Amino acid sequence: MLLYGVIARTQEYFGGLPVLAEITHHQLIVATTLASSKASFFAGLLHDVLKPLLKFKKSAKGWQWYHLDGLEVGNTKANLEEIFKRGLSSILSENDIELLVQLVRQHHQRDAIRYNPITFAENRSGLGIAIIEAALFPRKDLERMGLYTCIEAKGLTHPYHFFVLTLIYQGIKYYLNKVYSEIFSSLGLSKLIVEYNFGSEKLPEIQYDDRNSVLTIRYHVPSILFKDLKVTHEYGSKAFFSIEKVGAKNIKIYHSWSDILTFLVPSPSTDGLVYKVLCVIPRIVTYNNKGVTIDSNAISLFEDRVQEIVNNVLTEIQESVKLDSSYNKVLLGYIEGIEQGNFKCIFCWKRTNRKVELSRGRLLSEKFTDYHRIQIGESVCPLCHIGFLYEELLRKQGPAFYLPLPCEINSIDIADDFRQRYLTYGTCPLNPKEGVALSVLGLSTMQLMSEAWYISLLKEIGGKSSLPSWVKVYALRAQKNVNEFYVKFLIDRKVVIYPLIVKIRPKALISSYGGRNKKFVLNTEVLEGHSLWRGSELDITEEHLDMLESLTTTLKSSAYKRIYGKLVSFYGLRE
Amino acid sequence: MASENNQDLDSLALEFLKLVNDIIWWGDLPDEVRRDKWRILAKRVMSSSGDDVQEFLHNIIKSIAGDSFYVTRRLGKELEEYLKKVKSVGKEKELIDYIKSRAIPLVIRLSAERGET
Repeated sequence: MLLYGVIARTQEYFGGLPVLAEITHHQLIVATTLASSKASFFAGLLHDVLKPLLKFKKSAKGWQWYHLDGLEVGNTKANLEEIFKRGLSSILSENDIELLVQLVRQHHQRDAIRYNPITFAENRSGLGIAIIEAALFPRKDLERMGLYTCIEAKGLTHPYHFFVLTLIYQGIKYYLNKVYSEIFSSLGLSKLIVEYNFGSEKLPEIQYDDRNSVLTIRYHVPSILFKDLKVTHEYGSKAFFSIEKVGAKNIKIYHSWSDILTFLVPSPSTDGLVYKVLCVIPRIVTYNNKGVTIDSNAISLFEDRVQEIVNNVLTEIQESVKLDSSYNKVLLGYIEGIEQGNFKCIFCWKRTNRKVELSRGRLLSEKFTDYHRIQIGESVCPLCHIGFLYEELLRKQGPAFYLPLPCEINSIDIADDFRQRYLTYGTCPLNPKEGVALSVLGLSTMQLMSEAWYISLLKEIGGKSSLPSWVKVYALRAQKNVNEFYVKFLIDRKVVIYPLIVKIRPKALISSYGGRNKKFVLNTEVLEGHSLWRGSELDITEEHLDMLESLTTTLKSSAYKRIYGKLVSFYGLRE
Repeated sequence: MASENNQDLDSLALEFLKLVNDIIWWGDLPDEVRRDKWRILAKRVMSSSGDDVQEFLHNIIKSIAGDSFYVTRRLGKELEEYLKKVKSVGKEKELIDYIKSRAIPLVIRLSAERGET
């Protein structure tokens, strides 16, 4: 089980369906839009600092989640001013702390949208960035809600197309992290550490280390079920999501800023379903004594940086498969749905004016055997060409390469101890009976969940010089590199965003497994159904892992390594 | 989530593998077989077949141990009871399919139960 964090919101509409939005992610998204000043940025980052206490009460209006001044915690009443003064005096001036306290206290007041940047950022009638936590297809104009569209992909019809788009997304994420890092560092935040200590309820503690520009938020989440367990999130310039320092009762999860602030989502349009790479526009909300506004200048400045990043990523992709530089523009055109020429692509049947030699000495080497995957045609389109060459490149690098996709949700439940607290009301603030509501942020959280599962099976190995620095290659974990946490999570596939307990079906685009002789993007559908990872003896399926689940409650810690060894050997995962 | 039907099959399947494991005298087999006994057991379960559970059991044991197996009085009794139970449930084909298609996780669970992980 991966204890991941705490929910950020309940769903007001549709009968309280849960959404997969984590509280730190929510605060970071709001803070990013407010990064035009130190006080408003930190106010955004801390505005829901009392929410992880999960104090719900039912009133005539429905469930209310109390999280402001005066909240009773143990024997004391929360005083936000005290919490913030104690923690932030080395980064913010006295005036700024007062302003921050005021912004946090006011953010649920009626009419606050006119004068409070947090309310403006969150509220549908203002910027409305928080809509992405509850909706997959927001009806507002994306840019007017603080989301920049880095790429809009149309007419993707083949696994290679989606493979290339996902690669581009990974590259954009990597470089955008540097941009976000730069902006947050200029405001005094190089690293954000968030600790969730499960057990008894206590007020959160905030600490700022001015020597290293590190803000630490220590939450105490009331839970009997997960008592004494601790999860720490670290956000910063480290570019990749990872789970490390895994102990019996605590784990540390590293995120890049852009793991939270960049999204790859489907989006309906007049051209049918398109895919968009979106990111949160930093500093889009400005705030002064006169009120709150959207800063168009911030949008255009950010746009220039993003365009530069997109070009860099396309160049790196094209260079790593040794194609000529003219491919950049053409590739972007094909991503955007433009196709030209009279040659038909043998993989996807898009038209192209580039003649790629297909003979066995050229593109299709003697090892190519997937003739059942090709159609009558004369060439390959730029998207399939790059997808094919990249897959070959990664396969040769071996041993394993995958791009995480949003997981599927097999089941969702509420922690029993949380449910017990509300038994007297007869209902619960969350209703997981009908599943989960999808959202933009939820989809990227689901992608991180998939990635977390693959991390429990795979370990990153040293980068190869022929690949861009944002492309990681993996190998199956050696027995010495696994422990109880990795094996349990590998088997039970449960993620906790307290109080939600979600059982996932991890998904990924996998281009090489085990050895160096298999390629799979072209054969993506062989993975659909229930196979999670291929083995030379047998594939690992959800059904098989379900059968092993009883072990996760009965085994001694020392036995997990050996169970993992058996999984690898019996299924033939290494071959 | 395993249905009630599957839970029945699951416990019968585990019991079946326990019997197979107990009937084979692993100590009489070569070192390399003994060292890798669980993997060999899983593979042989997957590759064996039988028209009924008794034949299936016989074929697995024979494929691993040849003639090197003994059925003690206690095991004979257990086997008899087991076969009666299977007959009374009346899902022999389903049970064989269940065991064959889930041989690896079943064998891993058995090895964990026997403390031989």
